[in-house]
Amino acid sequence: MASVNRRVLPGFSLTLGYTVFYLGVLVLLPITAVFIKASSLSLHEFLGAVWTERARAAYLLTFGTSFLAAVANVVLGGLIAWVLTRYTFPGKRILDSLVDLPLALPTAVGGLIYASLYVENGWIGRYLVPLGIRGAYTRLGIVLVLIFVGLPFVVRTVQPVLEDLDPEAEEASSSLGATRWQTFTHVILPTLYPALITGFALAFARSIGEYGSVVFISGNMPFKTEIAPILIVARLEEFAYGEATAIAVVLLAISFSMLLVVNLLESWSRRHDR
Amino acid sequence: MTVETAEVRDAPRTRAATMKIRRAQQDPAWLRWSLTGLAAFVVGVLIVIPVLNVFAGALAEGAGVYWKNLVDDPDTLHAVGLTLTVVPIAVTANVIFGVAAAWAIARFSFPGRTFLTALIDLPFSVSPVVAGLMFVLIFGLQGYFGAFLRRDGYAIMPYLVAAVLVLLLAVAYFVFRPSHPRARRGLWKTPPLALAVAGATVFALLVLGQQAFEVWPANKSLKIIFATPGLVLATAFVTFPFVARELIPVMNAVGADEELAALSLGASGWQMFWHVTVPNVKWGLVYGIILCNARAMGEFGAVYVVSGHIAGETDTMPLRIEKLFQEYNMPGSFAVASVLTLLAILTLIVKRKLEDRIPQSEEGRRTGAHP
Amino acid sequence: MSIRIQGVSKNFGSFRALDDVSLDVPSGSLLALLGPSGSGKTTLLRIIAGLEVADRGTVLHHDENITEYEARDRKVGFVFQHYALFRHMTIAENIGYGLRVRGVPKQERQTRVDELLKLIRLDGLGSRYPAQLSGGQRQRVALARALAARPNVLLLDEPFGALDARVRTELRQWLRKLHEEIQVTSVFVTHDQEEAFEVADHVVIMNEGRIEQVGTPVEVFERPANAFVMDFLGNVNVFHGRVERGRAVVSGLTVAYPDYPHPEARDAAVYVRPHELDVERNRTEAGGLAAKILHVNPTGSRTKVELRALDSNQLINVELTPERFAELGLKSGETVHVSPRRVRVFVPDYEI
Repeated sequence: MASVNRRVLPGFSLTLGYTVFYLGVLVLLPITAVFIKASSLSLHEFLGAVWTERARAAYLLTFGTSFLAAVANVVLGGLIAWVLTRYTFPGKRILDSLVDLPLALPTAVGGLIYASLYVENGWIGRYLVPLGIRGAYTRLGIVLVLIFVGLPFVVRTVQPVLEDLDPEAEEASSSLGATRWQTFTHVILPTLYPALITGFALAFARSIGEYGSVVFISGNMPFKTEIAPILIVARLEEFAYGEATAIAVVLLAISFSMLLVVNLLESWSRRHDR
Repeated sequence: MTVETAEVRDAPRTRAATMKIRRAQQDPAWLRWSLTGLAAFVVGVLIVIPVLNVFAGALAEGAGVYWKNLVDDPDTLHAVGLTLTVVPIAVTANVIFGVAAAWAIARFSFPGRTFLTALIDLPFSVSPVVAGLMFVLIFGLQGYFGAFLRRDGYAIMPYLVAAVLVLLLAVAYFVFRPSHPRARRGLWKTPPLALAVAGATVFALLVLGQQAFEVWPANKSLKIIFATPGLVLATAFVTFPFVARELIPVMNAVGADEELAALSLGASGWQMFWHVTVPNVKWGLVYGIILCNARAMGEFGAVYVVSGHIAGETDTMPLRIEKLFQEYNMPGSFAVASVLTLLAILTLIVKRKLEDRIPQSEEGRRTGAHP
Repeated sequence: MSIRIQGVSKNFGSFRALDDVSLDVPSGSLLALLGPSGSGKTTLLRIIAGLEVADRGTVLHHDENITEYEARDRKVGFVFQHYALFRHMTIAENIGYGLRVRGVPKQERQTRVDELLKLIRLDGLGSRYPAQLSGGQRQRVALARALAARPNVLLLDEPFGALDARVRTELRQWLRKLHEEIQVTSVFVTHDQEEAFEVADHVVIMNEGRIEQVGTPVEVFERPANAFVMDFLGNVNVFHGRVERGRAVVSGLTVAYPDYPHPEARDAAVYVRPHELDVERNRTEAGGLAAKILHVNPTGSRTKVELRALDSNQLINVELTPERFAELGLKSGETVHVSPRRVRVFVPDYEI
């Protein structure tokens, strides 16, 4: 940390003041508004908005699909990160760059394409639909698009850790008599846990809030393919601001507590490092 | 002694060569190639096919139709224009914020610094829809400030505008004030007096102007939500972390030594910033800007909530895609999507080019995992 | 012979790390591979361990060809320079790892781990993590881990390189004692000649991928095979002169050199160690180099005198015993005569 005495370098009060002001207007004020609005509801009203059958179905769907997508991302992202750091092959740089595309591509575009790929006459749907696999306007579609959105997070958190892995530890393991698979499970995997957890959390957090891509592919049928953010928008379009806010508070609370849990998990899994 | 020097030079070469060969030996070829193939397949299905599909969909009815879809639809054109209005404003605001925040956080230690850093990451864990909702709650018709602003036909606006102007003046005052006390003359010496004079003048001009000449008409149609200001606010909220998060590690990696050197050689704070800080972090800054820009162009959820999606008025490009999609105008929808996809690809290329130029500290190494 | 290396070569791209190296390691010996970095000593060690594959040549263990064996099948213990302890495992888990992956039952493993913890004098610390230990302790754990599965050979790559000077000396003596106790054939790599001489019973001196000399520390130091070994093993004064008819002549100084009886004169380099030079106030009959004293450093067990030869301007380093120095009463700026008690002459293309 390059922390310098604030009397030596100029601009401390100016920049800090501006930062606090900007964050205050853009972040603290709006968040406060949400909580004020939510607290203006009575407990009965709040529960009435938050704990309806439709809302519960939406939470369950949001978390179920986000969880599945994040798990899939850990596996696929871990695989891609492994291949990108361990092997050399033609087109490696292009593959590496392509992984970032979901970060740069507008989510609406992602949703649009996925919806059209997996319909009956889409490029992929035409092979899958005859097999009974429907990717568009189903829960599977939501999971697919969330995998797309979350993939870079896992790859980009695992990749640097894999690159920094001490090759000597692997050599030590193999000279101590371990097979390649034993080395992988006993030595490599445990050092990757923190990165995998972080990647999982980033992908999961992103998926829970995701709206732009899901709205295209889900079909937004209440109880079936309606995720929580879509439910908020539905309430807003009915001008039911109170109810929308209540659901938003639940979503916020869950996001924040998940961040907390993940931070704890991460520091737990790093407990042996210096 | 001569021997010593010779081997030191050889050592890194040996090590690099060793690593390379060892790495290659680690997994058997069949495993290597099947894993690589699998990874390529995953990226192909998840990313490459979709991208090709955009262009195929956009050009399905020929290049002529594609072009017409883009330029002959007035609503689409308006959406392009609106995006090109909203995004630069939001990005500019975030760049100024990002530089200020990075300077404060990377160069000074102060109580609450960790909290501030955490606060900057907040948009990553807030659903864009919830972000949009926040601004509707504040500035919407029934919102806390919405009603307040609308009272008496926006009679409050001159005061608000004056307050913002005075604030900007104050910032400019401190930025341009000579850093050395001896170089300060006149009003530069007495900040409170200077600001009081400037503030009073601005207030007087605006309020008098409104009273006497109705410079600020009672504008009933002025809106924040369901209008451009709301779009800017929502976009700024969702994208403000990018520049700051990119700059903080770069500034940490570069360190303050050169800046201190510049100051000791007699540079003013402002000169130091332009001559030393900016050149040192410029690639990190550009990197942050293009990520911020890409996200701002593509923002959907937050903008969707605050826009009210009125075609030809508050539809940005991503919103236009959705509207065309709902109208079953697939070629039109894909045409707009293809423009944004090209932009995304361009962003990736620039990003790749920049990555090698950005100084990195060992710990603050880039993960690229910005939501 | 425990380990026999025959004609091993290894290239990294265009860099030749090992060039047709052959070496025998006697059973139960403690052998040091000594050389500057880049000389191929670590590569040789890694080839013995199976962590690197030789381009050519064979590695035998008790006449069994193990060249094609993978690292895990070689039954060698390898101690890495930076320990390479598994930081997510406790000390006990680290030490027991080699047994665990070979399917040794837990009970048996525990006994062996306790035994080794005692051997490395860390009993009671088995449940700690590597990050909680000091550098010297970690190095001992790395050693115990390598020994746990009772390897045929113990290989150590710059085992004390990352430690500070005091711990290093301590560990050297400890390693020496340990080797006497367990008698496992050991090979270690070092670039520090003092370390090699202190610990090893055999020293192999390597340079540019080739072995320059093999021998006991005394042999190598007293009878260096060539100029490189002479130069590498400590301070030396090099004089340029010529040899003819059993004599070496260096700027007016003549020394007997029976190894070269030929009548035709050749250029030669004459090597003299600083402690093998003597200083006289007056010219002796054998002749001596007139030199001016530049600097005297009387600290340490030997007094170091730096001189400059009057005719050739060459710098000469001399080490005297403090008694001799006191007897002579030398001061900077004085002119004295330097004569060697013993020289080694290396004639280019005429080396032993």
